[in-house]
This record gives sequence, C-alpha cells and structure tokens, in this order.
Amino acid sequence: MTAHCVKLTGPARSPPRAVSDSQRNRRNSIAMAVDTQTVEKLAELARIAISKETLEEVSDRLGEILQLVDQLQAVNTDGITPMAHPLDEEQTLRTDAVTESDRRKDFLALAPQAEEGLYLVPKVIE
Amino acid sequence: MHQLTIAEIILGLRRKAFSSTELTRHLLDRIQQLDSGFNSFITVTEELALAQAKAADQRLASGEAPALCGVPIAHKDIICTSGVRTSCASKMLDNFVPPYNATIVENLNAAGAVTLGKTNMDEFAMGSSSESSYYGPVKNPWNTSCVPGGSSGGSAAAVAALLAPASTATDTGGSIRQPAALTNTTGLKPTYGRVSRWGIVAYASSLDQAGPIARTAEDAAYLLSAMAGYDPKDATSLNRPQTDFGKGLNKALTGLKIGIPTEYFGEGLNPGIADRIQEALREYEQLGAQLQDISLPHSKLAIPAYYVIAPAEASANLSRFDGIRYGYRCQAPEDLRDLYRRSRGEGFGEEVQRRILVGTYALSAGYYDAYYNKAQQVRRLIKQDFASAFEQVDVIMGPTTPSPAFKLGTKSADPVAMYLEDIYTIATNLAGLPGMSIPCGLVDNLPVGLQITGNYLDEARILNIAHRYQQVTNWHTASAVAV
Amino acid sequence: MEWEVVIGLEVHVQLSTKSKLFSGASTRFGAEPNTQACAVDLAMPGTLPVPNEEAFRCAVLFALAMNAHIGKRSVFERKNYFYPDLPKGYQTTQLDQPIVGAGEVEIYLADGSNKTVRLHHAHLEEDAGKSLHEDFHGMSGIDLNRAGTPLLEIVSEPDMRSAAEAVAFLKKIHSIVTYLDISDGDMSQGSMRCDANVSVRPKGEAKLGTRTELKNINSFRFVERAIKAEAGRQIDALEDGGNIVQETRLYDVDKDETRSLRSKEAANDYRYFPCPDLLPVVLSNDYIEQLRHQLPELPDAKTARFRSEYSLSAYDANLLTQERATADYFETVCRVCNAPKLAVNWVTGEISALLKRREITISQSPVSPEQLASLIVRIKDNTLSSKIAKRVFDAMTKSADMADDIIQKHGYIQLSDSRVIEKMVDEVIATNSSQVENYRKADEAKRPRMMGYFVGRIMKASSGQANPKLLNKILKEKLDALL
Repeated sequence: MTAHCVKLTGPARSPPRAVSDSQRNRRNSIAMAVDTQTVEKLAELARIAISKETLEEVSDRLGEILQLVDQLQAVNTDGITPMAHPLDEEQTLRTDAVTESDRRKDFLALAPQAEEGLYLVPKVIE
Repeated sequence: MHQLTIAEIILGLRRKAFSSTELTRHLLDRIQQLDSGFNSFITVTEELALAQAKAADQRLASGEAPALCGVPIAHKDIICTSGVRTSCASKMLDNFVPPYNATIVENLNAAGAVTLGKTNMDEFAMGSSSESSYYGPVKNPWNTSCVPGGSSGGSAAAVAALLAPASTATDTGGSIRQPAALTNTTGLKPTYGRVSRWGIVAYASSLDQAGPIARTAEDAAYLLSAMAGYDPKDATSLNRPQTDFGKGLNKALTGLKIGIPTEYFGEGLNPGIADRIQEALREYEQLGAQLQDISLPHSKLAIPAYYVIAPAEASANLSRFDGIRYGYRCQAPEDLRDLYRRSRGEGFGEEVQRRILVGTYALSAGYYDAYYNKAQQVRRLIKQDFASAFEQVDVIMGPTTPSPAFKLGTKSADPVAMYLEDIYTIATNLAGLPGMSIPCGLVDNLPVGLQITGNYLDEARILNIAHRYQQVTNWHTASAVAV
Repeated sequence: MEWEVVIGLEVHVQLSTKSKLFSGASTRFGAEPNTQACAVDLAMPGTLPVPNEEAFRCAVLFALAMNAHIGKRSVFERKNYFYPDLPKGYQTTQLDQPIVGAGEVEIYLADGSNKTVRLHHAHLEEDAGKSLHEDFHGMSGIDLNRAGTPLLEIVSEPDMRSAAEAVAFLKKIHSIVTYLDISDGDMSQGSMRCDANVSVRPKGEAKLGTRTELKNINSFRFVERAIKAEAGRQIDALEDGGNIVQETRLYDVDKDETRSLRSKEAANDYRYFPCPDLLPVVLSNDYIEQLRHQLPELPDAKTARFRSEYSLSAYDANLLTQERATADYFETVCRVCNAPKLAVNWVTGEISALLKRREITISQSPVSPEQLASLIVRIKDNTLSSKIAKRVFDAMTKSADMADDIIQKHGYIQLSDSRVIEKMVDEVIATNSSQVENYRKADEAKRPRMMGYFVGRIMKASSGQANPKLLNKILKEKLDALL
C-alpha cells in the first residue's frame, strides 16, 4: 500500500474461534490431530459427503498434511505484507459494453435437469 | 515421421516432404496402436484432427500458412476445447463438452495447429504422478511400471512416447516441469500472466500457468510464441508486447551468470541426479557461463506455503461443481443438501476432496490468520529470496526433481510423500517466475531434468539458455521408445 | 420503561451499468430466464471475471456525494457459501478494502429537524440469481439472469433511532443515487433493497441491545412498518422477561409481523479471502478529481439554492429536491413562468396529486412543465381564476395543448371588466333584497362570510369566470354603500 492510501474500515472477518491454552502455548505448532468431528464440519462446509467408514482415514491424512503445513508457524513474518498475487500488478478495468449474446440453448444442454429455460434443483426452502 | 521435432515438421510441410494429413494420420495410428500401454490420452479427436489437417494442407498449398500450420499437438484435458469433452480427468466432468475454447486453444488454432486429442492428467491437476485420473494412471514411456510425473503426465508421456511432437500443459506447483523431467522432455512454465488462463479449468488461480511440453527448447519457443499474449478476458493477464520467443535462441552464453542455490543440493536429493546436474553445469561453463552459489533461505517453506494457498484457492474454485448447471449429478437426491454432498462426494476423487477440505480448513474462522495469511506472508519472503538472487545472477539452475520417476502406486497412499516431489519446483509458482526443465541425462535408465528458473518475463532468455545446451548435448534426443 | 430503538441499514443499490460487474452480459430487466447469463455468469469451468469500469465510476461518484473516503486501492474477495442462485459457490464482494469508506449524510425529518447519519462503508459486489418456486415436479427453477449484476452495498452505522429516521435515510440514499444517475432506484424491480439491523435498549443505556436483521425489504412503506413491528416484538419480549436472539428475520406484510428465517448457512463461516482471479483496483487522484468535476448539483446544495434563489421554505425546498426529476420539473416551470411561489403550489399540489392518483413518476407526467408554466402565466396575469385554472389543468392532463389554446378553445377567459362585474353585482343586489337586508342588519364581523352568498350567485351566473378579487372588491363597495 502506498503512503497516501486511505486506511479504510470494513466489516471484520468472522470472529476468531477461541484458541485453547494448550494450542497457544505450542507456539510453533497450532495444528493438532484433526478429529473426525472437525472433518465432518469441514465436509459440511465444503458440501462433500464422506462415508462413516472413510472418516478416520480422511482425518489421518488431513492431520499429516496439516502437520506438514505447520512448519509455517515457526517463521517470523511480523510486518510482512501478505502476497495474494505473484506480481504486483494493478487491475485493468473493462469498458462497460454488452459483448455476450444469448447462448441459453448451448448452456442448458449441459444441465443435468432443466425445464422451461430454468435449471432445476430440489426445492429451495427459504 | 513421429520422431520429428516441430522445427522439422514446419520445414517438411513447407518443402512438401509430407502433408499435414499424412503426419496426422500417422500419429493417430500410433496413438491407436500404442497408447493403451501409456494411457496418455483421455480423448482422441480423430475427426477434428483430420479436418484441421486437411484445412492446413490447403493453406500450406496456398502459400499463406501461419507459423504452426499443420503441426499436430495434444492438449491437456484441463484446457477447454469447444465441442470436445474436457474432463479434467474427473468423474465430475466425464460428460462435460464445453461450447467454448480456451484462449490458448484459439491462439494455437489460429496459428494453424492440429488437435490430436486431450491428454490424461491428475484429477483437476492435483497431483505429481498422474495416478489420480478417473481414466486410470498414465505410465511412463521410459518404464511403464513407473509414473510419468504429474499433473501433466499425459502431455509429457505422449511427447516422450512419440505420439505427439508437443502438447500443452499447465503448471501450478511443477506440473509441467516435473513430468518433463521424468519423461526426458522439455517443459516450460511461463511467467504468471504471460499465457491467458481463460478456458483453463482453475485449480489455484494465483499459481496456475499454461505452457508447452515439447522435445526441444526450440519447439517450446514455437509453441509459446503462439500461446502467449495479453488476453482481455483474463484479468490477471499481463499486457506486454507480443514476443517471438524463437528469436534469440542462438545467442552466446558468454558471461552468463548462473546461480546455484545451495538449498537445492542438500539432503533428499538422489546422488545420481546430483551428478547429472553437476555435469550439466560443467557443460554450461564450457559454453562460457559462470557459476555462482546463491542462497534461497526460505526454500524449505515453499511446500508448506503452497499446501495452504493452493488448496485454499482450490476449495473456492471447485465450488462451482455442484451438479446443477453441468457435470455429474448424483442419482435421486433427497434434497438440495443431499444433491450437493453426494454429487461432490461421488464426483470428486480422494485427493481432490482432500485438498478442498484442507483449503476449507485453512480459510475457516479462527484459522485464516494462522494458515492462509501466514502462507501469503511466507510467499512474499520466497519472492524476496528470488529478487535478491536475481540481483546477483541471470538465471538459477538446479535439479527439477529430487528423484527420478518412481513406481506406480508407491506414493499414492501417502499424500505428503507425493507433495515432496515438487520441492524444487513449487517456489517458482509462488513467486510467479518462469521456469523450464530440460533433459540432462539418465539415472538407472530413467531421465533427469535440469531446472532453469529465470527472472520475470525472461522466457526468451531461458529458452536461449536451454537451446544452447541442446545444441551441444543430445540427452533430449534420447528416446523412451523404439524410433 | 421507556425504550429506544437503534437501527442500522444495509442498502443494496443496483448500479445502472449496461453489462454485468464481471462479464459482458446484459443487465436488462425482465428478459426470458437464463438468456442473459453468459458463460462467466454461469460459472462455466475455466471462465474468468473482468471488472466493469462503470461500476467503479458509479461507486466513486457515490463516495464523492457522501463525502466519504475513497478506497484508492480496493480488493475483491470471495465469500463462500453454497446456494443454487450462486453459480460459483462464492460471491465476489469486498471486505477489508472496499471502494467506499466512512462518510456521513444529513437526513431531514418531517418535524423540520435534521440529523447526521454516519456511513460505515459501501462496497461493490455481484448480485445472485433467482430461485423460482413454482412447482416443477416438486423442484425449484433457477434463473441466473440477475447473477453478476453490480450492486453497491451501502452500510450505515447504527445511528437511526426510529423507523421514520430509517425511512428518511433510505430516501436520502435514493435521492443521491438517482441524482448521480448511478441507479434507477426502482424498489419495485429490486433495484434498491434494504436490510435493517434493529435492536432496542432502555432509554439512557449506552450498551447496544442484541440485534436482529430484517432481510430484503423492498419499499419505503414496508421499511417503516417492518421496523416498527420488529421493535415492538423486541420490546414485548424484553418486557415479558424474555431475550432477543441474534438472527435473520423476514417481515410478513399481510400479518404485519416478523418471523425467524433459517440462515442460509447453518455454520455461517463464509471463509472470505482475496479473489485470486482479480488484481487490486487502484484509482489515481486524477481519475477521482475528474469525477468530482462531473458531479451534478446534489440534493443538499439544491435545497439551499432553492431556498435562496426562489425564496422557498425549508419544507418546500426539501420536498422539491428529494427527487432530481421533480427539482428539474420545478425549475423548468419557474424558468418559463417566473412565479416560484405559484410553481411550488402547483407542483406539490395538483401535479403531485395527479401522479399519486395515476401511480406514475414525474417524468411520466401527462402535463409537461412547459404546459404547467403556460397555465401559471395566465394565473399570474389574472386571466384565469384559480377555479378556472383547475379546469384548464384538467384539460392539460388529456392533451398536450398549452394554456392559451385551451382557454381559447373553451372560452375560459377570466372576467376582469369592472363595468360588466358591476352590472352583475347590481343585478344580484336587486334580485335578492331579503339577503341584502340580512346583510345590512348583521354584525360587522359576520358580514364577510355573508358576502359568500352573493359571490356564489355571481360566479354561477358568470360560469366561474368572474375575477374573484375584483368581484369581492366591487361587491363589498356596493353592499357597504347600502349600509
């Protein structure tokens, strides 16, 4: 960010989940073994059905990956600006013009279920 | 005819030594006869290829043929081809026929290239062995009990098995360079933003970059010249003048400063590979280059950072596969939640699910700062390592992989072991730099790749460096299969 | 106990761009389902977003109008959740670095007072599609035409203390966005939608109570009613010793009550992270200054000018400037007739009543400002009595004729010849002797009212055309002469 940029206030990210004392004390490692409950929660967020039989296996593998990733915790990154893009480029904006024509027929043909120009899904309950 | 390079094909077609139709027919026949042994293609587009070849022959006859007119190539099956199934090697997209082309396909079509088919890969480009494909594993033409690397294993194997002179591929953490190394082919991952991502199914958007796998650096330059260029449809595309990457191939390397990162020669590197790399470096000294030890102190953190950033981006990128507008939908969903969960649970393979879950975890409330944000900070440290290195040297060289091709099935149950395959390639993606892998010898009759990493937009330079080496060595011409 | 209601609003304004926020598909309202959903809007694999410059222009104009900070560097993020009307499985929106930062705005209340409401921020985001709940064999239909339409979400601080203040804020936002011409502000078509965060606390208490969010309120009237209903519910609950649960609620118009809405995502963990397909948008000072010069006169400035230039009351000036079209109408009328006071009366009176009756906006008014001005000219020069003027006005609602044409056609000339009026007065006095006698005997204070009888007779006799002022004067003189 350049110096003349205005610091903006925005809505906060979701509130941080409480970190237990034991986690806090292990300064170089925050990932604990991933329990099956956590995996079920993640699977729900990601909308992936995981069978009961494979749950343990999935938890173990995730635990191993998180252990690998946990090496990051040992690095001091104070004051380092996160880098979401490899190049420090700025966005080029598009001129406001309608460039797309109606291709509904092509696209709807790909849908598992469609009718009267609409994509069909099991009832959406508000 | 199948052993010809693109440079030779271009010449042969113009000299009427053979027609594009003859060459295309020949390669289609080879694929039909031989590919069952490698499984490098998911879809062979015979009709399309022959039609394109016929059109190319007409243009060649008229004398107004573009650069790659009549040159047959294959596309990785993550690259959208209008009217041709684009599966990403996933059950999820087994029935997906896009009604649009990726920009690189448009570009290559405009350059006159002929599409032989779509190559096999790790599902959604997530892997380093091409074993996670819904269509079965790809086998390394050098030893069919070994993997060809991944995720662009099909693209590399097809070139190594002399089924296609070159192919397109994508590289998110090494998916062009690692399979190129393991199959004795020449692969180039361009600078992030050099090649349009439009129409390439996204795995990790800030890391994905398409490039060629070919037999020589010269051929890679031909392909890249056609593929690269600013695309207003990709907001991360770099607006830089069009480049002919073949122009400076023959420049002398006198005075070239090559940086050798000490971190890339430590524990875990196969000694045979270390020897081949040292031999290659001596060759470069012969060519007039100077070697200089450098340090990339944060190298070790590239894999941990990557396995936060890539899954985080993937977890969102793959949310669109929901069984509603295209792709796989589970049978008789009970309700909306069931539709989502089973379509995705049944449509995605294990590794894809695993990465989605890891990414979901890294972004979830309370973990964002510790994982995602931390990884993006480390990413900057890694980029800074390269920036300091490029203040001292022109290019960086080292091994592409820590070991040669491994046996099928040996790492597929152990994701972390698989991830370590990309230990030398991943940092390049995190920093967005261009990188190549070129053949530099064999270990136990398996190929070894030399990795050349350049500074931003220095593709022409690294192609020149690779080309000069290929002028004085013949490792790249060694063939996996009987010619 | 006395309670205080605390309200914060989130107003979604659909920006009037031609194409969508991230694609070149049309934003036109009312098209056949899914005919304006292009590959990007449908989240087809491999497609990429490219931001629309016009949306940024609109947002910056809004920031300038609100005296708000401008996010010279703004960043799009992905908000992840699954819903059939959200094709990518995430909404592209802004979070930490929005385009519009903190600002403030004056609102005007019916009692003539005003108040400053603080703007927390405003950000750009894409709209979702629509789920249609007509029965398709027990399934819902998804129309994605609206998906990707640019929205500016305007978030206030919880500064409002009554439903009336909330409405005044909403009207102010409506007035600003329509003045800027960045939105049509049409609530009936969903171009402006509002969520209200409502809580109550004992008067004098500093701590905020638990709030609920009222979703998707789509008219000014319902905003007021919904907030009143919800505040009432909360007060009742607290007075009964209950407590308030933080949740999303929906206002039921028919029952005039709010009900709990199950949240879109039970776990509600949106896993925001910067969208890797998009780069930071950086706006230069030049660009911003250029837009500042393009700013039209805004409601507050116009109100001040109307008060000084036309000597209007604060109330009238506010009423006229709330909508740009009304203000423009008024000024056109004034320019032609040069009679501001009459113009105010007619615009806020007859015109406003006419529009309300026909449920149309002022731009659709059957009486053009030029027509109205021609009428006012004839009132001002006493050609028309107010009574006849209304008849002329009625004729104008049915034709495009100017006042003089109508007057001529219908002979609506005001009778201002004093000799003719004197004759008529004489006749009435002569033929109504008993009424004249009563007048003479009556108390002085009662006489003016008794004059009405004679006026009525004469008006009737003259078909309403007698100049009332002149008539009154002559009548009084003649009657008083008989005293």
